[in-house]
Amino acid sequence: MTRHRLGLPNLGFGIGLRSAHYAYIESWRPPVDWFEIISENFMDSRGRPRHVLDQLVGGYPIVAHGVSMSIGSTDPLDRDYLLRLKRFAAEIEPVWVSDHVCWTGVAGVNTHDLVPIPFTEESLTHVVRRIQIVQDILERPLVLENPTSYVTYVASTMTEWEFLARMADAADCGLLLDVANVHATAVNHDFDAREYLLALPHERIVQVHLAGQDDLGTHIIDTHDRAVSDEVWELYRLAVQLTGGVSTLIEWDDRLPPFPAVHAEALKARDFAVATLAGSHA
Amino acid sequence: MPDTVRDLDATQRWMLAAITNEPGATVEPSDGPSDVVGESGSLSASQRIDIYRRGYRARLVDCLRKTHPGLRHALGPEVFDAFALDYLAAHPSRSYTLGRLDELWPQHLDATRPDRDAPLRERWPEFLVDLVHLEGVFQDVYDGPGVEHQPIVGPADLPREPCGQATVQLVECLRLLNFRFPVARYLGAVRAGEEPPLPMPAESFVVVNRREWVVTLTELRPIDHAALVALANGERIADAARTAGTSVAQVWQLVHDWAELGFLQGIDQPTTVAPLTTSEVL
Repeated sequence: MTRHRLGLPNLGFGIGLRSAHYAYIESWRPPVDWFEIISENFMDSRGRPRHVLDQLVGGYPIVAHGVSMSIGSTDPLDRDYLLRLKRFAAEIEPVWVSDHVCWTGVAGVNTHDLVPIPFTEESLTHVVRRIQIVQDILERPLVLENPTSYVTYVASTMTEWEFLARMADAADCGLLLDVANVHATAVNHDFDAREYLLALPHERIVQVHLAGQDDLGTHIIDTHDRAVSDEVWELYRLAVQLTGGVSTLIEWDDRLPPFPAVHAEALKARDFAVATLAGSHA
Repeated sequence: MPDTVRDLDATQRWMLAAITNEPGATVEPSDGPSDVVGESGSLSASQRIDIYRRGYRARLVDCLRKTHPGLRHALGPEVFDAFALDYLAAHPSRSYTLGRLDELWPQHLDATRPDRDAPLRERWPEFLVDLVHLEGVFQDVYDGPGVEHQPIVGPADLPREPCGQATVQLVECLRLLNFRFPVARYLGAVRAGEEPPLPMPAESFVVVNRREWVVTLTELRPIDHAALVALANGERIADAARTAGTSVAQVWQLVHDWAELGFLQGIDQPTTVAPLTTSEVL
């Protein structure tokens, strides 16, 4: 039987650490539950980014969230990258390490985008094997996030949620449920987001992401440049019910407002979760 | 490559070409977009792929905009973007980190200058090459190793009397550069929010350094630069003075100035010092 959240803690309601907020955070040491960092922005840094991070380590729980593992690529795994990530994790001791169910490049080229993979038996076998290798190298469980998707592949033979559920079980890894990505992908591919959430192995969901998006009418772009939409908050309510509450993080990257505004979104998530769980137990 | 991922690999290579090629370019193998990607109720397969194509360009060009404000100011926003796209087409990222995205840009600009094979060359391409080179070094120094957590030599640590036998060690983050244009002055003005005009050609000697996490640009006189290069190469003060064609007293004063600017990591003075001749001191 799977240990709930792989035995990882519920950290509460966190914020993505962004350079525009360094000065505020250094000055005020705000009462945030935890910070998530983009691993690649810090793992090679010996400048101010790493200095700021080092000041936070110990005072706040830190989660290392990567964007370059390219777990679904058919290129060989980048062992240099993985060893650097392992060394970095040993230095900052993140509560967990996460990345995305995607490929970012092939043939040696990195698009620096999170491109979805076809949901086939072939892909599933490939990704599961690579997750196991990564977990062996890192010597820690990997937590993987569903990216926003703007394409479906003709070759796919299963749904995204079936793929994620089977992947997580076969590889014995955790899931980072990006509720905003589920909403965007559901709109983009015309499926029921609730069905997606209901079908996941909830005991494997270690963390939730929330973010603002741009609804263009024909599709939704995951822009991380505004407050969380009402539709995503409603979906978050269901995620809280299904998981019993897990570590939740606000992602905000572009058109970044002052730190207190982002923090207010995290506190809003807390209020949503508390109210949802109170209602569930009533 | 194992047979089990051959179809996945073909799909990823097709998608990579579709994402990184110019719009309308032929993608090999010549599968049509709808052979690989499904349509949605509101977007065709091509339109869905275009979301990734646009996102790829926007993300990477935006990254170059942020790290090259000087070049962007010099070229103007539209021409800058065209230059950036030309560079990215020739040198797509092959690293897990965006920190290396621009590392070949100076060479690319030099190799693609329109008068490359002309008997008489214009000077302005040299300005662009120098500027993009300096901006790359600026980023390297910002995020590279520094001496913020180490003691450095201040003016008070130096003997008052000139010591021609002494050698100095420069701080690890210091870079000594020379350019064909006064690009440090230009970049400094742009970063200060000014609107500097394009400069005329003029050889310039620049120190890029970092103090308390802030990158500094210091322009040196040619003679001072020669002395500092000699000291960086391990020459004694007296030898550096000879190399630069100046006096020990003058170099000693420079060493005091450079200590004030945080250039010096250490100073070694022999315990038994041979007296300097009058001509060496003067």
